Amino acid sequence: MLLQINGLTKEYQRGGIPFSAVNNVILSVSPGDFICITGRSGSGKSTLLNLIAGLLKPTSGSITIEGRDTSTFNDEEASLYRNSKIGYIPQGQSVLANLTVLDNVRLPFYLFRHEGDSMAKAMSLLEQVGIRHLAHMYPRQLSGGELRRVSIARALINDPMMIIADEPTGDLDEQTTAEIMRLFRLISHKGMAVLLVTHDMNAAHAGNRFFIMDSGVLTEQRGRDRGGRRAGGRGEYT
Amino acid sequence: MKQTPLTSRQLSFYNLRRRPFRTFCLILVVAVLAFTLFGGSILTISLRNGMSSLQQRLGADLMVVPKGYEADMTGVLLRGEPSYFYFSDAVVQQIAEIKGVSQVTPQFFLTSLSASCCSTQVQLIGFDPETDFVIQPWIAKTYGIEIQDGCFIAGGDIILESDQTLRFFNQTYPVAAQLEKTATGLDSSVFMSMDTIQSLFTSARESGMNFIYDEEPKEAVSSVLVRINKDLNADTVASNIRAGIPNVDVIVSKNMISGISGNLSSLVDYIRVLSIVLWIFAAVILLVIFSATINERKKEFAVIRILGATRRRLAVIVLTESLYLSVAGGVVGVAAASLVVFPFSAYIGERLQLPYLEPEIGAVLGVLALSLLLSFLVGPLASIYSAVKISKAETYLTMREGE
Repeated sequence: MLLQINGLTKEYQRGGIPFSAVNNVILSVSPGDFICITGRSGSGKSTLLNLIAGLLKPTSGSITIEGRDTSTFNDEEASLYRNSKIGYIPQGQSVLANLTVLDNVRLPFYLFRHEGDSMAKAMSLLEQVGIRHLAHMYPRQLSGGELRRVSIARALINDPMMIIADEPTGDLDEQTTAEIMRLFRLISHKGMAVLLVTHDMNAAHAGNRFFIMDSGVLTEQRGRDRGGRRAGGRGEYT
Repeated sequence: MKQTPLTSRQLSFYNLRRRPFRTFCLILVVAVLAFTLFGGSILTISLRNGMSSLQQRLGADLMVVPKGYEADMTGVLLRGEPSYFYFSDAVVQQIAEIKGVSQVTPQFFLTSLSASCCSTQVQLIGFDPETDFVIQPWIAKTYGIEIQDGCFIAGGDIILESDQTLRFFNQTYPVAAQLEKTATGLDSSVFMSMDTIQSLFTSARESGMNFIYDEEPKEAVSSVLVRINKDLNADTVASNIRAGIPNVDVIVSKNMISGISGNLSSLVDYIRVLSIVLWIFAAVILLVIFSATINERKKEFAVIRILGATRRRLAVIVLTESLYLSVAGGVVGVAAASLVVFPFSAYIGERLQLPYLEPEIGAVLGVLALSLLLSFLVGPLASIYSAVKISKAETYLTMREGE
């Protein structure tokens, strides 16, 4: 078991009335899992990812990784956890404009102490995601699909146990989406867990575990329950 | 391939490099501040030094000159404008007998026509070694020697011949000592005993240059320096002299100095206020720009945080950026000020019409260190708010804002 989530709840106040953005979520993640979560806007998907990434503290429940509850982490520990154990791909364009593609990929390597040759590793990752030739360019010279590949390479630089991706194909065309999902499949085949949130039903079915989130409640869809896929179309959750 | 570690310093440098115009403007703000701090401080200290030097060098409470030559005398003393004027040496005894006068000593002025030492005329000043209480103590204090007949003492700006001599009116004399700079007109003067200057006078007359028509040179003096009894007021004694001796002007040293001091104080106050206002102005500009920039860059910092940066790391990146700007601006500003205040010191003193004496290297280095320190501090101080704000920002909310 890589990650264990038990009774995870995150409550907010809206107009003085409490509501659960994430409600009693239970989830186990094992190495090689490719988990796709879909759901309506505001269903709590991104909140769940941010809780798992340690960017938010839960109201109750726990997220346990390597025997430690992440809610007990101080800032240094939470940052180290985000930097080393998970590779987070935020929603939208998240590549830093001031750095070259290569330096964007290398950046997480230097936020904490890591052994090895960051340059060789970054070039190898850029090769794997098919944009090695863009290594010395700046983000403004890249297309949306190329920028997403940079984010994926960057998420992999510290050999994390798990990749978390928030709407990684949200603004991409179908062909580019397919290429990105192929990359995630490759990553999970190498034994890394992938946790992906998407509105795109085609993308959502690329994983080996499929969840729907509704009003903060996470439900796994198994076998024939994994319906809702529309041939050639974007999903119903928009 | 060269592998540059992406440290906080490197990240800050890249951030500044990719925004050249903003970086240039911020450096310029700090540079103007550093220019004012360093240039203003050197200017202030130089003027104070000049004032202090003038007070020390005047050495007399009153200076008596022929009627109508007060401006010429102050020109000789303050600005090194050579002049000559004479009245009978009988006035020396008359002044000595005035109530309240304790010491008197005459001086005799000549001006050179041209000399190898100088591109302009030189003020030649003869003094009476037996009664002098101004020049000799100065020489004795600095060099521990007494001036002899047949030698010169050169002011600080006089350039000597290679054999340490000076030549005026076809007469060459050795230079016994050269005085340190005083920022007064005395820097471009050459001092000698009365006998020596009379010898020069004779030589000048033989060359067809006559300074005096209605007096015998041995019976003429240019000015009489006066010391008064300590318990008396200089203005009162000056009035006594004016009342008792016709056709003389009396310059009261402290009035001359206080007049200059008044101008100096105003200028020093102005520079001080300007420096404080500019420091605050620079801090406010940087505060506003950093704050606005940080708001623009919230998502950038949120991404870095998501990648694993601690809150402290974000603050360090912001503070390092501001420190780089401050260091660059500080160095540029101080360098620019140095290029103005040091090569043009003579011109500045002349334009201000005030004695101007540059501080010694130790004081310059002290001012340099303080100016750089204040310049280096302004950026980080102004960016503390932004650094704290960005380090406390909720990454989750920031990323949602950007959606």
